[in-house]
Amino acid sequence: MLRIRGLTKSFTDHLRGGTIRPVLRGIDLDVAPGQCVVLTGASGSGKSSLLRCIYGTYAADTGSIHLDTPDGTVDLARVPDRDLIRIRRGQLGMVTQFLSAPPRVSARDLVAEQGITLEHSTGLLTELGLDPALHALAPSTFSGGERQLVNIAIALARPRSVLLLDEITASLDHNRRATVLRVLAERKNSGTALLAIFHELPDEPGFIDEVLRLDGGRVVEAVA
Amino acid sequence: MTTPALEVRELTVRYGGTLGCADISFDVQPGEVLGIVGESGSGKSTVLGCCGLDLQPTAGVVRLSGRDTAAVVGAQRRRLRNQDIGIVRQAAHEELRLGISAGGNIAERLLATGHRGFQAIRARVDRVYHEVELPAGRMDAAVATFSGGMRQRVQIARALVSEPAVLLLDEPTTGLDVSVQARILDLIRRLQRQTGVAMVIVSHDLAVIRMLADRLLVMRQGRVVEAGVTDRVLSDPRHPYTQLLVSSQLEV
Repeated sequence: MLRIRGLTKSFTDHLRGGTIRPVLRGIDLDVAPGQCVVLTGASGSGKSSLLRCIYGTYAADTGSIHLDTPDGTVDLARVPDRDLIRIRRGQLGMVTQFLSAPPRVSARDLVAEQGITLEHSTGLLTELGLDPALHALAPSTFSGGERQLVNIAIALARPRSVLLLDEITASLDHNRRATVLRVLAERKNSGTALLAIFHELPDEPGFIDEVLRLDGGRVVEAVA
Repeated sequence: MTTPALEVRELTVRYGGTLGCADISFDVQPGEVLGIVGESGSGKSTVLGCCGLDLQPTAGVVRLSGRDTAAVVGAQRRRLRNQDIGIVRQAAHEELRLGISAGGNIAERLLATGHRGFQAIRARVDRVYHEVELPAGRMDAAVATFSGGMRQRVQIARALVSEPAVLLLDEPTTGLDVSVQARILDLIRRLQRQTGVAMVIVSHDLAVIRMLADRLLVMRQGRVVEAGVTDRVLSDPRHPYTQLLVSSQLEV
């Protein structure tokens, strides 16, 4: 369960005389196990900033981000660095549009580094639709869509209780997009909570449980 | 929580009237990678020098696997340094003796920690020499005949041959060609994961830090001005100096 209350975030730019730019102005949000909540809204409405605050890439100003873990409920807005790193290796996964990978590690090794066997890694890459001829190569030479499949495989390598997805299907062709959504639906059905931003809303029946529209760093509308 | 491989508490170093570093505290667990960034003269190398037992703190404590290093002196200190700490520097000649062979440079650390028996030493040196992917057949050649990238590999082999608890890297890829740099980083990353050694890496290159470090310290004028999980510090820098540092790099 992910439970967010009163979350605010602003950036203070000390190189511009301390200009303060608020990006989140009080977000309340729940995502239950096995639920998929989708964030929509214009560019700059705070969707990606919200995901980054949950993952800890941005430090929240105020409010709480409670996540249930095997060691109890943790407030990600206040969690010590080491605990955050441990939670990212365990319960909390994030996939963005961009793969930032070391330049010379092969796709299957990158995925296996999550703590799974090479066999499992190649199986997952194949399931997601990455050409087996590419598995032993470094993703630096891959197309945007192929890199994205590796990125998704890294996040799906281990079971997660929460997955944060930031436009992960944007660079995929129609078939691969459908495959990725099917794999995500399986994870969702086995209890993973999904909080996602999609460029184009998936119309797979039953996949999306709730759509929230953000504007100016606030949730302004909930669409069932 | 297990005993940290390296623990630094309230470390201060003064060079006469000049401050090297002030009130530095951090610890690194086995398997963790800590990055340190900051401009020249910010105190990074002073901190690393104290961790590597090359410098004595003016105040504060450096513990290796729980052991206070201030109490360890003389031959014991040299032995501890050769056994428990591996160091890779930007300038290979500071750590290696260029006139002797690669194998000799690597074996020297084992000899310094009391290993005896030619066959056993040779076997360990041979194994680590191949692990760092140095060309077979060059082990008995003088390091002076090696390229910059190969010298860094010899340093890495020498650092890891004693199976240290802590690996200290001071700008390990600065000055290398980009392609060589990528291969050295790949090697460091792979060996760190394989061995689970605790690692501290100092680099000017934020992309290198982003790739390797779990957590990051930002130093300025001898003090830590910001610390945190690496992607947080680099994506949401809060101290004015960190903002300047991040905005000065073209892309990280």
